[in-house]
Amino acid sequence: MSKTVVFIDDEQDILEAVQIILESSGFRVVPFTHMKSVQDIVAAQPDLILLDVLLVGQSGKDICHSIKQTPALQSVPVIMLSAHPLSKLKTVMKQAGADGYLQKPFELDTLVKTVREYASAQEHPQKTV
Amino acid sequence: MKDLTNHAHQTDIAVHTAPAQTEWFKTIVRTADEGVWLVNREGITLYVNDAMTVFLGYSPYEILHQYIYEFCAAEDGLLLRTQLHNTFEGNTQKFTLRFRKKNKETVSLQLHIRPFRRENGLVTGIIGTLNYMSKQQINQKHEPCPECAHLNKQKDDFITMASHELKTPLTSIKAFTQILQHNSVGDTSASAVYLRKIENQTNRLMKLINELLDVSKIRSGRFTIMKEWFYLDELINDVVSEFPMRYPSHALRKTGSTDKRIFADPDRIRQMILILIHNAVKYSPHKDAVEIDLSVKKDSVRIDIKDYGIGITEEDQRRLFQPFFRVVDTEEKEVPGLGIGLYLSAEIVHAHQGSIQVTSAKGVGSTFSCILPIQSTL
Repeated sequence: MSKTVVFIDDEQDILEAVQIILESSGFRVVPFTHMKSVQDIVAAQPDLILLDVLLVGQSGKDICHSIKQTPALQSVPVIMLSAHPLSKLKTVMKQAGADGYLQKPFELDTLVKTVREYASAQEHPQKTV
Repeated sequence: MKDLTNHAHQTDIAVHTAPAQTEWFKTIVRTADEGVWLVNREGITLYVNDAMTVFLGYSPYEILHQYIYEFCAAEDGLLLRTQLHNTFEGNTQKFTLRFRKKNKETVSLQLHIRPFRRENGLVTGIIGTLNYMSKQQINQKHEPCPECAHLNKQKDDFITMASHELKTPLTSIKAFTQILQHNSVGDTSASAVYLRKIENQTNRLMKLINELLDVSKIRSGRFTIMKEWFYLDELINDVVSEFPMRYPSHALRKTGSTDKRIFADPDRIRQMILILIHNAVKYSPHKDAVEIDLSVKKDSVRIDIKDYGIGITEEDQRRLFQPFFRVVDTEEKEVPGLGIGLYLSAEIVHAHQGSIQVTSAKGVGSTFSCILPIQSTL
Protein backbone atom coordinates (compact mmCIF):
# COMPACT_ATOMS: atom_id res chain seq x y z
CA MET A 1 0.00 0.00 0.00
CA SER A 2 1.35 3.38 -0.96
CA LYS A 3 2.41 5.83 1.73
CA THR A 4 0.51 9.08 2.09
CA VAL A 5 2.29 12.41 2.09
CA VAL A 6 0.52 15.60 3.12
CA PHE A 7 2.18 18.59 1.46
CA ILE A 8 1.35 22.13 2.63
CA ASP A 9 2.67 24.96 0.45
CA ASP A 10 0.98 28.16 -0.73
CA GLU A 11 2.80 28.06 -4.07
CA GLN A 12 0.43 26.24 -6.43
CA ASP A 13 3.18 25.44 -8.97
CA ILE A 14 5.48 23.92 -6.36
CA LEU A 15 2.57 21.96 -4.96
CA GLU A 16 1.81 20.59 -8.40
CA ALA A 17 5.44 19.75 -9.24
CA VAL A 18 6.01 17.91 -5.97
CA GLN A 19 2.74 16.04 -6.40
CA ILE A 20 3.82 14.86 -9.88
CA ILE A 21 7.28 13.84 -8.62
CA LEU A 22 6.06 11.94 -5.57
CA GLU A 23 3.10 10.28 -7.26
CA SER A 24 5.37 9.02 -10.03
CA SER A 25 7.50 7.51 -7.27
CA GLY A 26 4.54 5.62 -5.82
CA PHE A 27 3.32 7.96 -3.07
CA ARG A 28 -0.18 9.24 -2.52
CA VAL A 29 -0.07 13.03 -2.13
CA VAL A 30 -2.67 15.18 -0.38
CA PRO A 31 -1.91 18.83 -1.16
CA PHE A 32 -2.98 21.87 0.86
CA THR A 33 -2.30 25.51 0.00
CA HIS A 34 -3.08 26.46 3.60
CA MET A 35 -4.28 24.78 6.75
CA LYS A 36 -7.83 25.47 7.83
CA SER A 37 -7.80 22.95 10.63
CA VAL A 38 -5.38 20.34 11.86
CA GLN A 39 -8.29 17.89 11.54
CA ASP A 40 -7.96 18.18 7.74
CA ILE A 41 -4.50 16.68 8.10
CA VAL A 42 -5.71 14.00 10.52
CA ALA A 43 -8.38 13.02 7.99
CA ALA A 44 -5.72 12.47 5.32
CA GLN A 45 -4.00 9.87 7.59
CA PRO A 46 -0.51 10.86 6.52
CA ASP A 47 2.70 8.86 6.91
CA LEU A 48 4.69 12.05 6.42
CA ILE A 49 4.04 15.80 6.33
CA LEU A 50 5.97 18.21 4.13
CA LEU A 51 5.43 21.73 5.41
CA ASP A 52 6.53 25.05 3.93
CA VAL A 53 7.96 27.49 6.50
CA LEU A 54 6.42 30.65 5.06
CA LEU A 55 2.74 30.46 4.14
CA VAL A 56 0.53 33.42 3.33
CA GLY A 57 -0.99 34.54 6.62
CA GLN A 58 0.27 31.46 8.44
CA SER A 59 3.48 30.32 10.04
CA GLY A 60 4.78 26.86 9.23
CA LYS A 61 6.33 26.84 12.68
CA ASP A 62 2.91 27.34 14.34
CA ILE A 63 1.36 24.68 12.13
CA CYS A 64 4.13 22.27 13.11
CA HIS A 65 3.46 22.96 16.80
CA SER A 66 -0.26 22.22 16.24
CA ILE A 67 0.59 18.98 14.45
CA LYS A 68 2.95 17.85 17.20
CA GLN A 69 0.30 18.61 19.85
CA THR A 70 -2.34 16.52 18.06
CA PRO A 71 -2.26 12.95 19.44
CA ALA A 72 -3.21 11.36 16.10
CA LEU A 73 -0.28 13.09 14.37
CA GLN A 74 2.39 13.09 17.07
CA SER A 75 4.30 10.18 15.57
CA VAL A 76 4.07 11.47 12.01
CA PRO A 77 7.37 12.98 10.89
CA VAL A 78 7.29 16.58 9.71
CA ILE A 79 9.81 17.93 7.22
CA MET A 80 10.10 21.70 6.93
CA LEU A 81 10.71 23.15 3.47
CA SER A 82 12.01 26.61 2.74
CA ALA A 83 14.21 28.73 0.53
CA HIS A 84 15.79 30.12 3.71
CA PRO A 85 19.56 29.73 4.09
CA LEU A 86 20.47 26.38 5.67
CA SER A 87 21.50 27.85 9.02
CA LYS A 88 18.14 29.61 9.40
CA LEU A 89 16.22 26.57 8.18
CA LYS A 90 17.94 24.34 10.75
CA THR A 91 17.08 26.81 13.50
CA VAL A 92 13.44 27.02 12.39
CA MET A 93 13.24 23.23 12.24
CA LYS A 94 14.49 22.91 15.82
CA GLN A 95 12.21 25.67 17.11
CA ALA A 96 9.20 24.12 15.39
CA GLY A 97 9.95 20.65 16.76
CA ALA A 98 10.07 19.25 13.20
CA ASP A 99 11.93 16.07 12.29
CA GLY A 100 13.85 17.20 9.23
CA TYR A 101 14.30 19.88 6.64
CA LEU A 102 14.68 20.25 2.92
CA GLN A 103 16.03 23.37 1.29
CA LYS A 104 14.37 24.82 -1.79
CA PRO A 105 15.07 24.47 -4.60
CA PHE A 106 15.64 20.75 -4.16
CA GLU A 107 16.96 18.06 -6.43
CA LEU A 108 14.26 15.64 -7.53
CA ASP A 109 16.32 12.66 -6.30
CA THR A 110 16.92 14.29 -2.92
CA LEU A 111 13.21 14.96 -2.45
CA VAL A 112 12.21 11.37 -3.26
CA LYS A 113 15.02 9.88 -1.17
CA THR A 114 14.14 12.03 1.84
CA VAL A 115 10.42 11.31 1.62
CA ARG A 116 11.10 7.59 1.24
CA GLU A 117 13.41 7.51 4.27
CA TYR A 118 11.08 9.38 6.59
CA ALA A 119 7.83 7.84 5.40
CA SER A 120 9.07 4.30 5.79
CA ALA A 121 10.94 4.69 9.06
CA GLN A 122 9.36 3.00 12.08
CA GLU A 123 11.06 5.46 14.35
CA HIS A 124 11.89 8.90 13.17
CA PRO A 125 15.29 10.11 14.33
CA GLN A 126 16.22 13.68 13.42
CA LYS A 127 17.86 13.71 10.05
CA THR A 128 19.26 16.40 7.85
CA VAL A 129 19.31 16.70 4.11
CA MET B 1 53.61 89.53 25.64
CA LYS B 2 55.92 86.73 24.55
CA ASP B 3 58.79 87.76 22.30
CA LEU B 4 58.74 85.52 19.24
CA THR B 5 61.67 87.12 17.51
CA ASN B 6 64.15 84.64 18.86
CA HIS B 7 61.86 81.70 18.15
CA ALA B 8 61.39 82.84 14.56
CA HIS B 9 65.12 83.17 14.21
CA GLN B 10 65.68 79.61 15.51
CA THR B 11 63.04 78.23 13.16
CA ASP B 12 64.68 80.02 10.30
CA ILE B 13 67.97 78.38 11.17
CA ALA B 14 66.37 74.96 11.45
CA VAL B 15 64.70 75.25 8.06
CA HIS B 16 67.97 76.07 6.42
CA THR B 17 70.05 73.32 8.02
CA ALA B 18 68.73 70.68 5.66
CA PRO B 19 70.76 67.55 6.55
CA ALA B 20 70.13 67.94 10.28
CA GLN B 21 66.51 68.80 9.62
CA THR B 22 65.99 65.63 7.60
CA GLU B 23 67.39 63.51 10.42
CA TRP B 24 65.22 65.32 13.00
CA PHE B 25 62.12 64.83 10.96
CA LYS B 26 62.92 61.17 10.38
CA THR B 27 63.38 60.64 14.11
CA ILE B 28 60.21 62.55 14.95
CA VAL B 29 58.13 60.52 12.50
CA ARG B 30 59.76 57.21 13.44
CA THR B 31 59.25 57.65 17.17
CA ALA B 32 55.85 59.37 17.10
CA ASP B 33 53.08 57.88 19.25
CA GLU B 34 50.77 57.98 16.25
CA GLY B 35 51.21 55.38 13.53
CA VAL B 36 52.38 56.67 10.17
CA TRP B 37 51.78 54.69 6.99
CA LEU B 38 52.79 55.76 3.47
CA VAL B 39 51.50 53.91 0.42
CA ASN B 40 51.86 54.46 -3.30
CA ARG B 41 49.00 54.72 -5.82
CA GLU B 42 48.55 50.93 -5.86
CA GLY B 43 48.29 50.74 -2.08
CA ILE B 44 51.76 49.21 -1.66
CA THR B 45 53.50 50.18 1.57
CA LEU B 46 56.49 52.51 1.18
CA TYR B 47 56.98 53.40 4.85
CA VAL B 48 55.67 52.59 8.32
CA ASN B 49 56.95 54.00 11.57
CA ASP B 50 57.64 52.18 14.85
CA ALA B 51 54.16 52.81 16.27
CA MET B 52 52.57 50.95 13.34
CA THR B 53 54.65 47.87 14.05
CA VAL B 54 53.57 48.04 17.69
CA PHE B 55 49.88 48.41 16.72
CA LEU B 56 49.94 45.39 14.40
CA GLY B 57 52.71 43.22 15.84
CA TYR B 58 54.59 42.91 12.54
CA SER B 59 58.17 43.96 11.93
CA PRO B 60 58.65 46.82 9.42
CA TYR B 61 60.04 44.30 6.91
CA GLU B 62 56.83 42.28 7.06
CA ILE B 63 54.77 45.36 6.18
CA LEU B 64 57.05 47.12 3.68
CA HIS B 65 56.24 46.49 0.00
CA GLN B 66 52.99 44.72 0.97
CA TYR B 67 49.51 45.95 0.08
CA ILE B 68 47.89 47.83 2.94
CA TYR B 69 44.69 45.85 2.21
CA GLU B 70 46.38 42.68 3.42
CA PHE B 71 46.47 44.05 6.94
CA CYS B 72 42.93 45.28 7.25
CA ALA B 73 40.00 43.06 8.21
CA ALA B 74 38.46 41.50 5.08
CA GLU B 75 35.08 43.09 5.75
CA ASP B 76 36.68 46.57 5.75
CA GLY B 77 38.65 46.04 2.52
CA LEU B 78 36.09 47.75 0.33
CA LEU B 79 35.86 50.73 2.69
CA LEU B 80 39.63 51.18 2.63
CA ARG B 81 39.74 50.86 -1.16
CA THR B 82 37.01 53.49 -1.55
CA GLN B 83 38.64 55.89 0.90
CA LEU B 84 42.06 55.57 -0.78
CA HIS B 85 40.45 56.23 -4.14
CA ASN B 86 38.73 59.36 -2.80
CA THR B 87 42.01 60.54 -1.31
CA PHE B 88 43.78 60.26 -4.66
CA GLU B 89 41.13 62.63 -5.95
CA GLY B 90 42.56 65.15 -3.51
CA ASN B 91 40.27 64.70 -0.50
CA THR B 92 41.30 64.16 3.08
CA GLN B 93 39.52 61.32 4.85
CA LYS B 94 39.02 60.47 8.51
CA PHE B 95 37.51 57.12 9.38
CA THR B 96 37.86 54.00 11.50
CA LEU B 97 39.13 50.72 10.18
CA ARG B 98 39.62 47.27 11.64
CA PHE B 99 43.07 45.77 11.15
CA ARG B 100 44.21 42.18 11.58
CA LYS B 101 47.20 41.90 13.90
CA LYS B 102 49.89 39.28 13.44
CA ASN B 103 48.42 37.29 16.33
CA LYS B 104 45.10 37.27 14.39
CA GLU B 105 43.39 39.62 16.82
CA THR B 106 41.46 42.53 15.35
CA VAL B 107 42.25 46.10 16.33
CA SER B 108 40.20 49.20 15.50
CA LEU B 109 42.32 52.17 14.45
CA GLN B 110 41.33 55.72 13.57
CA LEU B 111 42.84 56.78 10.26
CA HIS B 112 43.44 60.24 8.95
CA ILE B 113 44.62 59.98 5.37
CA ARG B 114 45.62 62.68 2.94
CA PRO B 115 47.27 62.87 -0.49
CA PHE B 116 51.07 62.72 -0.51
CA ARG B 117 52.24 65.29 -3.05
CA ARG B 118 55.60 65.85 -4.68
CA GLU B 119 56.95 69.38 -4.94
CA ASN B 120 55.34 69.68 -8.36
CA GLY B 121 51.94 69.02 -6.74
CA LEU B 122 51.56 65.56 -8.25
CA VAL B 123 49.86 63.06 -5.94
CA THR B 124 52.16 60.05 -5.83
CA GLY B 125 50.86 58.34 -2.73
CA ILE B 126 48.82 58.59 0.41
CA ILE B 127 50.04 59.27 3.89
CA GLY B 128 48.00 58.16 6.84
CA THR B 129 48.26 58.73 10.55
CA LEU B 130 46.72 56.07 12.71
CA ASN B 131 45.70 55.95 16.33
CA TYR B 132 44.15 53.49 18.74
CA MET B 133 40.53 54.14 19.54
CA SER B 134 39.61 54.59 23.16
CA LYS B 135 37.06 52.18 24.63
CA GLN B 136 34.55 55.00 24.67
CA GLN B 137 35.15 55.71 20.99
CA ILE B 138 34.82 52.02 20.13
CA ASN B 139 31.55 51.80 22.04
CA GLN B 140 30.27 54.91 20.31
CA LYS B 141 31.26 53.47 16.95
CA HIS B 142 29.54 50.18 17.66
CA GLU B 143 26.39 51.92 18.71
CA PRO B 144 24.97 53.18 15.44
CA CYS B 145 22.49 56.01 15.52
CA PRO B 146 18.91 54.74 15.87
CA GLU B 147 18.08 55.87 12.34
CA CYS B 148 21.13 54.05 10.87
CA ALA B 149 20.28 50.89 12.82
CA HIS B 150 16.72 51.04 11.53
CA LEU B 151 17.86 51.56 7.92
CA ASN B 152 20.41 48.74 8.20
CA LYS B 153 17.78 46.39 9.54
CA GLN B 154 15.41 47.40 6.74
CA LYS B 155 18.15 46.75 4.19
CA ASP B 156 19.01 43.33 5.69
CA ASP B 157 15.34 42.35 5.88
CA PHE B 158 14.85 43.43 2.30
CA ILE B 159 17.82 41.41 1.02
CA THR B 160 16.68 38.34 2.96
CA MET B 161 13.13 38.65 1.68
CA ALA B 162 14.23 39.45 -1.88
CA SER B 163 16.48 36.40 -2.02
CA HIS B 164 13.65 34.24 -0.65
CA GLU B 165 11.23 35.65 -3.22
CA LEU B 166 13.74 35.02 -6.04
CA LYS B 167 14.27 31.44 -4.93
CA THR B 168 10.56 30.58 -4.87
CA PRO B 169 9.98 30.80 -8.65
CA LEU B 170 13.35 29.11 -9.16
CA THR B 171 12.06 26.16 -7.12
CA SER B 172 9.17 25.73 -9.56
CA ILE B 173 11.39 26.17 -12.63
CA LYS B 174 13.89 23.63 -11.32
CA ALA B 175 11.22 21.12 -10.27
CA PHE B 176 9.36 21.18 -13.62
CA THR B 177 12.65 21.06 -15.54
CA GLN B 178 13.63 17.96 -13.60
CA ILE B 179 10.23 16.39 -14.23
CA LEU B 180 10.69 16.93 -17.97
CA GLN B 181 14.23 15.58 -17.79
CA HIS B 182 13.00 12.55 -15.87
CA ASN B 183 10.41 11.91 -18.57
CA SER B 184 13.00 12.22 -21.33
CA VAL B 185 15.64 9.82 -20.02
CA GLY B 186 17.53 8.42 -23.00
CA ASP B 187 16.33 11.25 -25.20
CA THR B 188 19.22 12.63 -27.25
CA SER B 189 17.23 15.31 -29.02
CA ALA B 190 17.92 19.03 -28.80
CA SER B 191 15.08 19.37 -26.26
CA ALA B 192 16.97 17.21 -23.75
CA VAL B 193 20.08 19.34 -24.24
CA TYR B 194 18.06 22.53 -23.75
CA LEU B 195 16.53 21.15 -20.56
CA ARG B 196 20.00 20.47 -19.17
CA LYS B 197 21.00 24.02 -20.06
CA ILE B 198 17.93 25.40 -18.27
CA GLU B 199 18.80 23.42 -15.16
CA ASN B 200 22.46 24.49 -15.24
CA GLN B 201 21.50 28.14 -15.55
CA THR B 202 18.93 27.78 -12.77
CA ASN B 203 21.62 26.35 -10.50
CA ARG B 204 23.95 29.18 -11.46
CA LEU B 205 21.33 31.78 -10.60
CA MET B 206 20.72 30.05 -7.26
CA LYS B 207 24.43 30.14 -6.49
CA LEU B 208 24.61 33.86 -7.24
CA ILE B 209 21.60 34.63 -5.04
CA ASN B 210 23.07 32.61 -2.16
CA GLU B 211 26.46 34.29 -2.50
CA LEU B 212 24.99 37.78 -2.56
CA LEU B 213 22.96 36.93 0.51
CA ASP B 214 26.09 35.67 2.27
CA VAL B 215 28.03 38.82 1.40
CA SER B 216 25.20 40.91 2.77
CA LYS B 217 25.35 38.88 5.99
CA ILE B 218 29.11 39.28 6.31
CA ARG B 219 28.92 43.02 5.84
CA SER B 220 26.15 43.40 8.37
CA GLY B 221 27.92 41.15 10.89
CA ARG B 222 25.21 38.48 10.73
CA PHE B 223 27.33 35.77 9.14
CA THR B 224 27.07 32.76 11.43
CA ILE B 225 28.38 29.23 11.46
CA MET B 226 26.81 26.21 13.16
CA LYS B 227 29.45 23.75 14.27
CA GLU B 228 29.12 20.05 14.76
CA TRP B 229 31.48 17.07 14.71
CA PHE B 230 31.78 15.36 11.33
CA TYR B 231 34.27 13.34 9.28
CA LEU B 232 35.97 15.64 6.80
CA ASP B 233 36.85 12.73 4.49
CA GLU B 234 33.17 11.78 4.16
CA LEU B 235 32.25 15.31 3.16
CA ILE B 236 35.10 15.42 0.62
CA ASN B 237 34.10 12.00 -0.77
CA ASP B 238 30.57 13.33 -1.31
CA VAL B 239 31.94 16.32 -3.19
CA VAL B 240 34.21 14.06 -5.28
CA SER B 241 31.32 11.72 -6.15
CA GLU B 242 29.14 14.65 -7.29
CA PHE B 243 31.94 16.19 -9.34
CA PRO B 244 31.49 14.31 -12.66
CA MET B 245 27.84 15.37 -12.84
CA ARG B 246 28.68 19.02 -12.10
CA TYR B 247 31.79 19.28 -14.26
CA PRO B 248 31.90 16.70 -17.04
CA SER B 249 34.79 18.61 -18.67
CA HIS B 250 37.26 17.83 -15.87
CA ALA B 251 38.32 14.91 -13.68
CA LEU B 252 38.79 15.41 -9.94
CA ARG B 253 41.58 13.33 -8.44
CA LYS B 254 41.64 12.89 -4.66
CA THR B 255 44.78 12.01 -2.75
CA GLY B 256 45.54 11.71 0.96
CA SER B 257 43.10 11.46 3.85
CA THR B 258 42.65 12.82 7.34
CA ASP B 259 40.52 10.14 9.01
CA LYS B 260 39.60 12.93 11.44
CA ARG B 261 36.37 14.27 12.79
CA ILE B 262 36.51 18.04 12.88
CA PHE B 263 34.32 20.49 14.82
CA ALA B 264 33.10 22.85 12.14
CA ASP B 265 30.08 23.88 10.10
CA PRO B 266 29.78 21.10 7.49
CA ASP B 267 27.54 23.15 5.19
CA ARG B 268 29.93 26.11 5.17
CA ILE B 269 33.02 23.91 4.74
CA ARG B 270 31.30 22.18 1.85
CA GLN B 271 30.40 25.57 0.37
CA MET B 272 34.01 26.73 0.68
CA ILE B 273 35.35 23.57 -1.01
CA LEU B 274 32.77 23.82 -3.81
CA ILE B 275 33.78 27.44 -4.44
CA LEU B 276 37.46 26.48 -4.70
CA ILE B 277 36.71 23.51 -6.96
CA HIS B 278 34.39 25.63 -9.10
CA ASN B 279 37.14 28.23 -9.52
CA ALA B 280 39.72 25.55 -10.29
CA VAL B 281 37.55 24.32 -13.16
CA LYS B 282 36.54 27.81 -14.29
CA TYR B 283 40.09 29.09 -14.50
CA SER B 284 41.51 26.02 -16.28
CA PRO B 285 39.34 25.93 -19.41
CA HIS B 286 42.01 24.25 -21.53
CA LYS B 287 42.90 21.54 -19.00
CA ASP B 288 40.92 18.55 -17.82
CA ALA B 289 42.09 17.78 -14.29
CA VAL B 290 41.72 19.20 -10.81
CA GLU B 291 43.28 17.68 -7.69
CA ILE B 292 42.28 17.68 -4.06
CA ASP B 293 44.65 16.53 -1.35
CA LEU B 294 43.92 16.00 2.34
CA SER B 295 46.46 15.85 5.14
CA VAL B 296 46.77 16.24 8.90
CA LYS B 297 49.26 18.36 10.75
CA LYS B 298 49.21 18.38 14.56
CA ASP B 299 45.83 19.81 15.58
CA SER B 300 44.68 20.84 12.14
CA VAL B 301 43.65 19.44 8.80
CA ARG B 302 44.80 20.75 5.46
CA ILE B 303 42.91 20.77 2.18
CA ASP B 304 44.82 21.57 -1.02
CA ILE B 305 42.92 22.18 -4.24
CA LYS B 306 45.13 22.34 -7.29
CA ASP B 307 44.51 23.25 -10.90
CA TYR B 308 46.71 23.58 -13.97
CA GLY B 309 44.96 26.64 -15.31
CA ILE B 310 45.77 30.22 -16.19
CA GLY B 311 47.43 30.95 -12.83
CA ILE B 312 47.47 34.20 -10.89
CA THR B 313 50.10 36.93 -10.90
CA GLU B 314 51.80 37.82 -7.61
CA GLU B 315 50.09 41.17 -7.63
CA ASP B 316 46.65 39.61 -8.04
CA GLN B 317 47.35 37.01 -5.36
CA ARG B 318 47.60 39.78 -2.78
CA ARG B 319 44.13 41.05 -3.58
CA LEU B 320 42.50 37.71 -4.31
CA PHE B 321 40.46 37.42 -1.13
CA GLN B 322 39.07 40.93 -1.27
CA PRO B 323 35.39 41.30 -2.15
CA PHE B 324 34.54 41.85 -5.82
CA PHE B 325 38.14 41.36 -6.97
CA ARG B 326 38.38 39.58 -10.32
CA VAL B 327 41.34 37.89 -11.98
CA VAL B 328 41.57 38.59 -15.71
CA ASP B 329 43.22 35.85 -17.77
CA THR B 330 46.28 36.37 -19.95
CA GLU B 331 44.22 37.02 -23.04
CA GLU B 332 42.19 39.58 -21.06
CA LYS B 333 39.12 37.44 -21.51
CA GLU B 334 36.20 38.10 -19.27
CA VAL B 335 35.59 35.19 -16.92
CA PRO B 336 32.03 35.29 -15.57
CA GLY B 337 31.47 35.91 -11.87
CA LEU B 338 31.03 38.59 -9.26
CA GLY B 339 34.32 38.28 -7.41
CA ILE B 340 32.61 37.00 -4.29
CA GLY B 341 33.61 33.34 -4.07
CA LEU B 342 37.12 33.65 -2.68
CA TYR B 343 36.05 36.42 -0.31
CA LEU B 344 33.35 34.10 1.03
CA SER B 345 35.80 31.20 1.25
CA ALA B 346 38.22 33.31 3.27
CA GLU B 347 35.43 34.47 5.57
CA ILE B 348 34.31 30.87 6.13
CA VAL B 349 37.86 29.78 6.92
CA HIS B 350 38.49 32.74 9.21
CA ALA B 351 35.19 32.10 11.02
CA HIS B 352 36.66 28.68 11.85
CA GLN B 353 39.92 30.25 13.02
CA GLY B 354 41.68 28.70 10.07
CA SER B 355 43.78 30.11 7.29
CA ILE B 356 43.69 30.10 3.52
CA GLN B 357 46.49 30.83 1.10
CA VAL B 358 47.35 30.50 -2.54
CA THR B 359 50.48 29.51 -4.40
CA SER B 360 50.33 30.17 -8.08
CA ALA B 361 52.32 30.94 -11.18
CA LYS B 362 50.98 32.52 -14.33
CA GLY B 363 50.33 29.89 -16.98
CA VAL B 364 51.18 27.02 -14.64
CA GLY B 365 48.22 26.82 -12.28
CA SER B 366 47.18 27.50 -8.71
CA THR B 367 46.92 25.65 -5.42
CA PHE B 368 44.57 26.92 -2.73
CA SER B 369 45.43 25.59 0.71
CA CYS B 370 43.01 25.74 3.65
CA ILE B 371 44.09 24.88 7.13
CA LEU B 372 41.28 24.23 9.62
CA PRO B 373 41.72 23.48 13.30
CA ILE B 374 40.30 20.10 14.26
CA GLN B 375 38.54 21.75 17.19
CA SER B 376 38.37 25.51 17.14
CA THR B 377 37.23 27.29 20.25
CA LEU B 378 34.75 29.79 18.79
